[in-house]
Amino acid sequence: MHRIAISESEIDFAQEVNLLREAVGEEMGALASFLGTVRGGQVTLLELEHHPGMTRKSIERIVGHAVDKWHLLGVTVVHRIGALGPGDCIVLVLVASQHRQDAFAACEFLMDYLKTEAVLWKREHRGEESHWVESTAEDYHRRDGWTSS
Amino acid sequence: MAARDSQGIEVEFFASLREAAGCQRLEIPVSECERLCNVDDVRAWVARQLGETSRGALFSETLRAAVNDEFADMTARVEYGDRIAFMPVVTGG
Repeated sequence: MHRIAISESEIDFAQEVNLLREAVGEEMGALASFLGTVRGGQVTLLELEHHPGMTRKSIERIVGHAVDKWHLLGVTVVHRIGALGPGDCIVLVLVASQHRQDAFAACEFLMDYLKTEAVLWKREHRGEESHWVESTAEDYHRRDGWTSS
Repeated sequence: MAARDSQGIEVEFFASLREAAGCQRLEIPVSECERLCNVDDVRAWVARQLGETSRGALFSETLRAAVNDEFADMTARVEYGDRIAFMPVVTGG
């Protein structure tokens, strides 16, 4: 069971966990989660832009790679779009598996690929100023590390 | 994709490319499409239309393009009715 959602609404962590647990059933022995949030401090607003025809497909491809690489029972990826404030959830990744090693590794893999391959763009506002956020060299390094493992 | 009435080529811009272009999309009329063989030709046509302010973004090394919602090289062929997207590097998460 894989659930991918591009959402303009707040992410409901508990509801998503329950949905995945119900879908996967008693075979599950581990559930790893990652919740990315807008860092507070100087950032006052984060705008997330998507491509209506490409964003979902790009995330489906990433999930497909994870499913090929590990023994997974279920994956959930919910990605926010629109205007977000400090503390708001940007992305939720849930991975269910029989054993924790698969869930931990796949969760990290999914985030590393979402950072560099998901068709989304972020505009960060700091007071009156704003700029487009780009993936860092560290993001690409982390992604490329999976191809050699 | 479903064929559009005009059968020209639709060009869309995303994120910083939209800001540089000053618009979300534009349509290349059928009469102009015959001379456009690939994505690079479309980019050059768009650059001529939009003028100097868009050139930096359109010819950036990090520019990415898509044809009908699939990433494509600058050499990818284009046809009447295609939808071409120009966008900067992506970053989710």
